[in-house]
Amino acid sequence: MDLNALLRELFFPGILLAIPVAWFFLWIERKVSAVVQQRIGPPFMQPFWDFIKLLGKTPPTRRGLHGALMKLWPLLSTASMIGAIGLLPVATRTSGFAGDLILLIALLEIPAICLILAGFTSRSLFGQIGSSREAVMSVSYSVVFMAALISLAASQHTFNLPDLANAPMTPMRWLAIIAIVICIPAKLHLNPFSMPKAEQEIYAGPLTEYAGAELALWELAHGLEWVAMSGLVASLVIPHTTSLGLDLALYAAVSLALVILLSSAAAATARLTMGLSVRFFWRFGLAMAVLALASELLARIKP
Amino acid sequence: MNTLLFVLKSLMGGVVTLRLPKTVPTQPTFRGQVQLDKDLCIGCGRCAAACATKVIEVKRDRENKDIYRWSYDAAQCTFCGRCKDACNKFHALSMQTHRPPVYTAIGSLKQEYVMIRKRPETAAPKAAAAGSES
Amino acid sequence: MKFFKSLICKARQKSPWLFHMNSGSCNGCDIEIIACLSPRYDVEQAGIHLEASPRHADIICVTGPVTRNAAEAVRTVYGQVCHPKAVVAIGSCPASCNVFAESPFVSGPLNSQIPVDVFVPGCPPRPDAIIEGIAKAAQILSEREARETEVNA
Repeated sequence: MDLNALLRELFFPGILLAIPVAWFFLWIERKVSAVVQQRIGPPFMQPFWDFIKLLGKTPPTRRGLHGALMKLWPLLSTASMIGAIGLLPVATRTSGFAGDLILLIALLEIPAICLILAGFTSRSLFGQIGSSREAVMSVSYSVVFMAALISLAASQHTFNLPDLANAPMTPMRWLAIIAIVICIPAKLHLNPFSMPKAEQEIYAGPLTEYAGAELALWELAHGLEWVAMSGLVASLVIPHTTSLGLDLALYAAVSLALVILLSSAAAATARLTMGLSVRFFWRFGLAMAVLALASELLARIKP
Repeated sequence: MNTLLFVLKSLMGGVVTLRLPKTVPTQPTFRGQVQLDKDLCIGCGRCAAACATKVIEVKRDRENKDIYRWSYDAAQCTFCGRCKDACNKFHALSMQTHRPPVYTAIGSLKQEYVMIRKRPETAAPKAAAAGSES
Repeated sequence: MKFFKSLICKARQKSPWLFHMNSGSCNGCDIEIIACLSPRYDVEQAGIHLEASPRHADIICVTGPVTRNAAEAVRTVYGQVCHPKAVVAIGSCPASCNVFAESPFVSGPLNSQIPVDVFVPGCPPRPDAIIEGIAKAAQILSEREARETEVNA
């Protein structure tokens, strides 16, 4: 069992698969925005070349705790994302353990916390503004995200991911999944909710002071977040079929469609203000999530 | 709904980008680097007086009053064309119709000519011929 | 290791990230840089990306004659960019101060403040000239060895 888990982290949904897919999704994100703007867009290998080039840069030397922390945050967020991807019930519906949904929620929350801490660690003014924006945003979207996931868990009386993925689709389950999809742009700092990283407005937000390999890891973590979030939604949406190949194909198709949908939404919309987006999450997102949660809990009481 | 329509319209619109190594052709009236016709120039210095950035210099030699030096550097030029307009009598100046090249060292676009001063009468017939052609 | 080094050199040419620095320009050259990013010219097809922070950038595009107030800022930004880096002077102003030459409020052409690699002539230069200049700077970058860091934090 331990060996199996290690293999999952390292090879199949883990590092070996997730990193190329993360680069692919980053390329899709840029390409879709280019196509919406009637441009050609970056070449296929662009995120890979960006990553390699950033590894070749010489970042400024920082000593002591400051330097160590600046290196720690991108590493931690990349590692937690790889861990989250390893937990996803791709292809196998038997893996996982009781309560792995709680671990998944925790791992998905770590990059946001790392970004907040990174902004404050960098001692840059723009980093601090970005971090405080990210903190406010994460408070508003995390409530929706967790309520939606808890409603899914409450309907099946379990915190086991494969069991949740196998559960039958009900209207309330769709509602919860839509609430999760609404949270993804905020979690990934995509356009209607891109205030924390607001390019040109507060320079690069919390990442203003990052350079070289650390920045490359942040980019990679962003791509891995794409993989993890779209993978989570895909594993909840797709029906469980008997053939493994069909399962995998459906999984890839749903995550790709989600990435294209969210990227084109990001390319077509403008950045909201802080107040508007927080209000949006507390009104619509929370309403949806609470509706789903309440109905699941009431359904539990009835019989 | 508007957003959706916008996205669909953009997707239908196709790509308007030029593939990169391709350059855009310039108009025939494009104002590029200034070029001097050595045979027509008489060294009157009107171009230097008209130049907005003082990049055209016409300097007479200290010892020999008949020799003068005409210099121009595209690095400081605003490509306004006032020098060409000022040279309306002898038409010694012209402007290239393509853009100046990218360079890596200061002064690599500099043009400098040392010429012998001509009397206006000897230069005038040529200029008239050039004027009738153009 | 040698393979990795050659890979990095290739990557430098394939993904030059820009930082755009206005040192008292009239905005003519700035608008032409924006034109490069527009759908018509779309520098992203060559991997060129405009970055907001100088820490992320490889190539600094400077426009404008370096005014007295901007000289300090230009030197700071040059120090903030990590090695290897290249500087592109866009337009006639950074190359020679253009019409502002010999003004008491201008601290000389750009190469009296920081080393400049590529000059793009024009007032303002055409977008394809700017793209050619950036491509040349990227080529210079890929041939340049990473030196010791001299970044003032």
